[in-house]
Amino acid sequence: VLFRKKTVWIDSIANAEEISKSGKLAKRFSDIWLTQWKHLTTEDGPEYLGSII
Amino acid sequence: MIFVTVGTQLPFDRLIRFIDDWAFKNPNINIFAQIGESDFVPTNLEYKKHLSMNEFNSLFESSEFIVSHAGMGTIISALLAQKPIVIIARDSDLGEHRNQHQKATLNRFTGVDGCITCKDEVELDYAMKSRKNFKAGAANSKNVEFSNKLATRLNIK
Repeated sequence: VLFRKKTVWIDSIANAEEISKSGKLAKRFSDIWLTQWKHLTTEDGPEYLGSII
Repeated sequence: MIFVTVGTQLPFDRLIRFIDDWAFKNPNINIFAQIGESDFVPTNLEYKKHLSMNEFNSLFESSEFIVSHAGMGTIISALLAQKPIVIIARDSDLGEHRNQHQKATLNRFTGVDGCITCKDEVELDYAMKSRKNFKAGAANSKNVEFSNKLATRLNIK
């Protein structure tokens, strides 16, 4: 939560083998931390809720 | 017409050099390339550094197939438009990008209908020779489905 607003990080679909460096940095500021590739999910996140294609 | 694109972020001299050379050897084939801030200046094809959205869309639509860096924007556009796309990844060891994520993209789209993935210029040359056999892939945008799931996850109605 930043400025009393929920924050979401959606990592670019271009990161198919590991989450981006920016994504890793953004994790601690994100209420919901997402990847667009199912195989990149782990217990500690990121989560997968689908992708744009 | 063959439409070649390197995307908006970075030049990709290795691809444009290859295409220019290929165009020299295949003078009867119409090629248009979007080359970015390339150091290399092509002499055998029509090109522009950058394109407006309209120019890009119209060239994309009128092309038989696309030749591209492994950029997700172009790959998604090709799948949605059902255009075959020949893909070659930028190599960060050659200074063509910040890291090797384009190689990861290339691997992920290898074997996907409509995507002709090439590891290097040799494979690219081979792909161009087999262009008569290219088949278009197809995909639907999942934007709506994705945003609905996210809204549910966020408890937004």
